[in-house]
Amino acid sequence: MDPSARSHDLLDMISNLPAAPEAHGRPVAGIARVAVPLRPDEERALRQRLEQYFGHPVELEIEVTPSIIGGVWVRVGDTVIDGSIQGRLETLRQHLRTQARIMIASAAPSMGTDAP
Amino acid sequence: MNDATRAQISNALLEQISQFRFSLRPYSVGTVIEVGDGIARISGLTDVMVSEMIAFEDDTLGMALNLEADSVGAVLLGSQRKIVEGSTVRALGQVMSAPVGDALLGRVVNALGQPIDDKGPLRTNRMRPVERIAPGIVARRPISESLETGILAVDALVPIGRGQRELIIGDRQTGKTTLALDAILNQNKDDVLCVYVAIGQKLSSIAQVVSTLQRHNALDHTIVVAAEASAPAALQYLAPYTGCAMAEELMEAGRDVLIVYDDLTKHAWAYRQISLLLRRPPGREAFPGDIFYLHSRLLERAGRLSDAFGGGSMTALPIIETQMGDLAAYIPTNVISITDGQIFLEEELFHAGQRPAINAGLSVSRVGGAAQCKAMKAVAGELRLEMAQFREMAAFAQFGTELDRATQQSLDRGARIRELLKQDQHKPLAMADQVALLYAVNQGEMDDTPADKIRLFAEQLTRYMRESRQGARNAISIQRELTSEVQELLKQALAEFRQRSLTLD
Repeated sequence: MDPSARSHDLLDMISNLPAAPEAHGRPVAGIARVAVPLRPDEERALRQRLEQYFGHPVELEIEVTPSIIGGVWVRVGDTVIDGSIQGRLETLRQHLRTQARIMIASAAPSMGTDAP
Repeated sequence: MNDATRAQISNALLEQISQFRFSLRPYSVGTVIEVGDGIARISGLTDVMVSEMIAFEDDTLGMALNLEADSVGAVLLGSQRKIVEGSTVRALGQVMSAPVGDALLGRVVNALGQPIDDKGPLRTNRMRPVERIAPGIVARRPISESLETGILAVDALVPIGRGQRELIIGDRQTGKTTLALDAILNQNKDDVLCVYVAIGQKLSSIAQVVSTLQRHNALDHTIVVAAEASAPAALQYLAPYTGCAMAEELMEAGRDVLIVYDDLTKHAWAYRQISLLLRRPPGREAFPGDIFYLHSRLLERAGRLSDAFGGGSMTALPIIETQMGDLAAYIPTNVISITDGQIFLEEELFHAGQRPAINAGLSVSRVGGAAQCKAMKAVAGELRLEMAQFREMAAFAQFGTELDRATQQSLDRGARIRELLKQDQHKPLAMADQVALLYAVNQGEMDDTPADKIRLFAEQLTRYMRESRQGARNAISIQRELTSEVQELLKQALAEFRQRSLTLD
C-alpha cells in the first residue's frame, strides 16, 4: 500500500481490504454429508434452511457417506452442524462413559481407575 | 460378575439411554497449521473464546489462548505425539473447567481434575470454570477470625486470619513446604478444609507430601492438585486455577478453606514458557507483560465472604522461592505486593538450628492482627517488643562491652524466646498451649532455666498442661481472652509445675 496514504484515503483503504466472502454476499463453500442420496426437494430444503441459518448464500457440495448411518452432517466455513446418527451415537457413548464412571465410583470406591 | 449385577448394570445403562436427550449444537472447527513445543497454531475456529477448551482428533485437550485475525494459538494439555499438521480441531463451547465438590477431598488429581491416585474415578459430575472473576466488595467482609497454624512463631508473631493471603517466601531448603504442610496438618475436617497445589515439583516430593498427609490423617480433609515438573507447561500454568476453583466451590458452600500454592515461582516460569512460545512480547526477565495479573487474579480469589454469600472463606498461602535471599527480584516483589503479608524464611537461621527459620523482623501479617484471639494478642504483644529489643541489643552486645542489668536481662529473655520459638516439624501446638508457653516466658518463669534447656522446659510444661491442667486449657480455648480467671488458673498451674520440677530435680 502507498506509504503516503493517510486518513483521507481511508475509504479507499477500506474498500481495498480483503473481506470475508460472506460480507460481500458471495457464497461460502460448504459440504453436506448424507447416508443416502437426497431427493431434489430435500436438497432444496436443506440449502434453503442453511442459507437462512447462516444469513448468506452457501455453495453446498453434497457427499454421500454411508458411514454416517443416517441424518446429515454439514460444515459451512468453520462451523459444523452434526445431525448424523453416527454423531449422535458418539455423543451418547461419551455420555454413558462419564455416567458409568460415576456409577462405578459410587458403587465400589476401591475398583480400578479404568472405566469402560 | 454374577447375573444380578449384570442385570443391574444393563438396567442402569438402559435408563441412562432413555433419559438421554440429544441436542443439535453447532460448533466451530479448525485445522492445525503447526504444532510443536506444546503449542498449536490453528486456522479456523472462528467463534472460539479465550481459554475455551478445544479437542484434537485423538481427544487430546487444548486451550485457546491467542486469538488472532487469521489464526488461533492454543496450548496442548496433553501429549502432542498424535497431533499432526492438517488435522481437525473442534471447539468444545466451554471455557476450561474442572470437576469440583466434596468428592475431591482425600484425592490426588492433576491440573485437569483427573484423579491420579489409586482410588478410582471421581464421584462428582459438577464442573466449574477454572478462571473466574474474584468476589466483589459486596460479597466480602473483613477478616476477623484466626486460622491457627499450630506453629508458635507464626500464630504469635505473624498471625493469619481466615481469608488472608500470606506469602511464604525463602530460598530453597528453608522449610517453606514444611511450614505450609504443618498448617494443613493442624486443621481438621469439621473446621477448615485444605487444598494443596504442587506446581513444577519433583514427583518424589509430591509423593512425600501425600504420604505425610496420610500418616497424620490429614488427607481426608485435603485435595491435592499436582502438576509435576515433567507435566506440560500448560498444565503447570493451569494447576493453581484448578485448585482455586475447587477451593472456591467449598468456600461458596460456606466452608473455611486453606489453599497452598507450592510454588508460584515455577508457575511464573511455566507461564513465561507458554507466553514466549506463543510469541507474546517478553518484558523484564523475559516474563510477559501480564505476569503481575497472572498472580493477582489468582490471589484475589481468596477472601472471606459475607453471611449473605454463605460466610465461607479461602485463606491462601502462596509460596515463592527466592535466589540467595533476594526479595527484590521481579516475581517476589510482585507477589509480596499482592499478598497481605509474608513469612520470610532465612537460610542462615535454618542452618543455625532455628527451625522454623522465620525471620521475625522481615515477616509481617498486615491483617492477621485483627483476627488474633485476645488471649494470644495479650501474650504475643509483649513478645514482639521483646524480640525487637533483643535484636537491637544483640548487635550491640557483640562488642563485649560491660552491660547494665536491664540490658543483660533483656538479652537473656530474648535468647529464651528465640529458643521457645523453635518447633519440630509436624508437631502442631494447640492455641491454649501456645498461650500458656508465652504467658510463662512473659512472667519470667523461664528466666532461671538455661537457654539450651528451654525446649525441654516447654515440652514438659505442655505435657503437664495436657495431662493435669485440662481445666486451664479449656478455659483459654473457650474464653479466648486473658481474663483474670484464666490468669489465675495459669498462675496456679505454673506454680505447681515449678514445684513439681523442683522435687524431680
